[in-house]
Formats: sequence, structure tokens, C-alpha cells
Amino acid sequence: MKHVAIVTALFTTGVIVGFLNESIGVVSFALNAFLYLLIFIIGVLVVLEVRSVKFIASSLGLALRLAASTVVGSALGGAIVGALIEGSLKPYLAVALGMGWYTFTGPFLSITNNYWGLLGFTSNVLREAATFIIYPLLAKNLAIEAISIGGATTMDTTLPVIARYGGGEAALTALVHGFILTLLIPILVPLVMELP
Amino acid sequence: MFKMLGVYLALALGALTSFLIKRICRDVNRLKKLLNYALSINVYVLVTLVGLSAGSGIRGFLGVVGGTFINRVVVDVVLLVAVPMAVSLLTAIAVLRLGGRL
Repeated sequence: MKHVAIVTALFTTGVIVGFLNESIGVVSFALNAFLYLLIFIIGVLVVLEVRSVKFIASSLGLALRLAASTVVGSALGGAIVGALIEGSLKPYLAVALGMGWYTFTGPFLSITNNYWGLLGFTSNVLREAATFIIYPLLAKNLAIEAISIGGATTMDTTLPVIARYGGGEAALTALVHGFILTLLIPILVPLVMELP
Repeated sequence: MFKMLGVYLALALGALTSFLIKRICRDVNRLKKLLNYALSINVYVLVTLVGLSAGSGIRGFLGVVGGTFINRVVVDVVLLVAVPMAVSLLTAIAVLRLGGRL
């Protein structure tokens, strides 16, 4: 619970400061540099924990099944929201299939409609933020399954949290899971928007 | 794509360093503890930076939309965050557990 409180406070402060301040060039640079440093540390930790080739093979198999679950779950979730709100399925499905990749989904959907762009960006930013908070709570019993909530972000921004609370196997699975989704999102979101 | 390449380059460098560490360092467990500690502290800095970046992005998008539909935005966003996350988690639990993992 202490972790959740700290993460929520830090993220909220960050959002407020970012919202009020216009200059984010430096933040964007710092975020990327910092992320690479953390992923370097994760690379060291994961390899230190790899015990055999079987361990890697099992993580890859898990990641494939998990990625399929995430795509199906997100699509179903988007369809449910679309049905609940107004019956306009397509944009809700596209936003949900953004699966945390807000820098792609937001700008892509804003080409069609600014409102969908805002939803695509904000919903996926908050999915990432929620992963920072929820994953540590679920990691004890659902270290692998809970990776699916992070969507594509499990390859980069949320990977440090997964590695810290889920361990080596979860980190390796999350990495491959995020990679697969990162390849699928640019295909799935435009495909959904092309639907009649 | 550039970010993805950066991630995999950083990871490969980390893996390479890890192989070197395994050859040089005698007390690997102590090093693991130290790296885990560094990771936990740095996660907090990362969350703050993500928040800053997100806040600025939301401001940009609200500027474009005009902030007129704020109630509708809140309802849509809350549902679009909570429902796909919950359904994804439930699907993953069903697939992995029915698949015989546990």
C-alpha cells in the first residue's frame, strides 16, 4: 500500500506540473534517457536470473499466449464500452486496441476526429499509469497474468515495475508481450478504423 | 520505431554486461540486491517523469478539443481505462490457467 500511495502521489504531481508547464522538451529527453538506463539494469538482472534455455523458451510461450489474451480482452473491453455508451463501436474499439500506446493512438485517431484523439491519448496514458499502481498489488498472486493490463507499455515504461515486483520470468515475458503488441497496434488500430 | 531500437539496444548491453559480471564478480547475489534497490528507487523517478509528460500531452489535446465536453470525456475515459484492463486480465487468467500453466 505504501508503494501505491507514493506512485499515485508522484504521478498526480507530475500530471499537474506537466499540465501547468508548457516546456516539456527536457522532460521528454530525460524520460527516454532514464528509461534506457532502467532497461539496461533490467537486462543485467534478467540474464543473472536466467537458469537455462528452457526458462527462455517457457517465457516466450507464455508471452505469445498472453499477447493473444491482451488483444482479445482489450477488443472485448472496447466493444463492451461502445455498447454501453452509445452503440458506436468502431472508435471505442480503436481506442481500447491502442493498449497503452498513447503516442500512436492519440495522434492517429485525431486525424479522423479530435475527440477520439483526446480519448485515444488520455485513456492510454491512464492505462499506463494504472499499471504502475495496480501491477504491484496483483504481482504476488498473478505476476504473469497481470502483465496483460499494461498492454504495449510492458516493453518499455512499465517494464521496470514488472521486473521489480514480478521477478525475472515476468520481466522476460513482459518484454516479449510488449514487443508483440507494439508490432500489432499499428496494424489493428487503422484496420478497425477502416471497418464499415 | 527508434524508441523500440533504443530499448533493445539498452537490453542487449545489459545482457552483455551481465555475462561479464558472471565471469568477474564472485558475489552475484549482493549485486542483484543492489540492482533491485536501484530499480525500486528509480521507478519513482520514472513515474514522475511519465506524469509530467502525460500532463503536458493532455493539455495539448484538451487545447485542440476546447474542453467543452469535460463530463463526457471523464465518463468515456474512465470506462475505456477500466473495462479493457479488467477484461484483458480476466482473459489472461482464463487462457493461462485453463491452458494448464497452474
